[in-house]
Amino acid sequence: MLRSVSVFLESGLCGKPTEFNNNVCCFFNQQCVRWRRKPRWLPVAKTKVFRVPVKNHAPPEEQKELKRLHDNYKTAMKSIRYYFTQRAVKLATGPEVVAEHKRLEEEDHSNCIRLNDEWNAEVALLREERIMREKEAKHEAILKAVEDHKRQMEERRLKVEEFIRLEKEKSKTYITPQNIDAAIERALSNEVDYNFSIDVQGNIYKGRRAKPETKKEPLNEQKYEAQACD
Amino acid sequence: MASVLLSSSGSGRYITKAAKAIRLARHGCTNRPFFHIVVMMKGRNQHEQPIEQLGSFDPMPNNYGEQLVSFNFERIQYWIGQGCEISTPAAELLGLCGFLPVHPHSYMTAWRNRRLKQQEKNPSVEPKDQ
Repeated sequence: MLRSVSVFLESGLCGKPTEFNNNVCCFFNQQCVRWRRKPRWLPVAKTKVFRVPVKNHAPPEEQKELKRLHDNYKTAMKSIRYYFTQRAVKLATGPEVVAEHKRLEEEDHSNCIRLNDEWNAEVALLREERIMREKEAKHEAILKAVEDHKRQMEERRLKVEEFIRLEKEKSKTYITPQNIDAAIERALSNEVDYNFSIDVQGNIYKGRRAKPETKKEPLNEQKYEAQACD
Repeated sequence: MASVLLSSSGSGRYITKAAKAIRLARHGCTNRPFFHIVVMMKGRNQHEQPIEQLGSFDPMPNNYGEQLVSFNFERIQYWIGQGCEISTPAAELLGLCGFLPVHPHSYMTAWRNRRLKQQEKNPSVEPKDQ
């Protein structure tokens, strides 16, 4: 509490210590911050507890005079400031300035348009060239496609004709209702046997009941013996 | 002191609606002050790049006992028109050179100096104001 009181005094808010001040100060602790000089929790030095800083005021006549001068100065400055502000506004939005701005803007705009037209003409030339090139390429591609198509159709026609020719040739041997009896007769009379058998050596024996020709060789002794054993 | 030479025309930080001030920025070195008169945003470090330099001020009297000061009045007018504040030292300089009314602070310094001189001359006499 003592600390809070002393600090309160130092801050110069409540003059001399009184009973009243003591009572008031214990409710809130006002501590000025000592900027990097002393930690803020340190109390005021003992020698400085009851020091009341003396303020040196200017003498009242001087104060009065200063106030008058300041008032005059402020009034003058206000009008000067107003004048310069108005001048700035005029420089920004005066009729001649606006006209000049407009003229410059129009000049710039017309310049831009001219430049744009130039560029457009240049680009148009390039574009026409490109379009012509593309058109020719397309024309050629179409011609080539037509040619290809024709060739393909020709090939196909030739293939079909060949096929038809072969079929016509084949049709001479077709079995028709007219010659079916003869065909049946011929089939029955010429029976074909597709069966065959094959032995370990890979010899093929055609016919369902075909058998290998037995060679009439004299058996050698061993075989003979074996056979005899059996 | 800025480590690099900063451009005196433009390129300082400029925020449209932030307060700007015409003020002094101390250049020079230890025991040899030299000031640039600059437009800067208020509350910025004096050694940051200014929005614009408007003049210079050498407070040390030269061989002829002159303190040299230079201003770009055209631009000062422009910046005042833009609503710049003027710091007291700058306003004093502008007042002394006759561009603005003389600042009250100049008057005050003058009469205090006069009083001191009077006191030195005649210590027994009580100094008179004004």
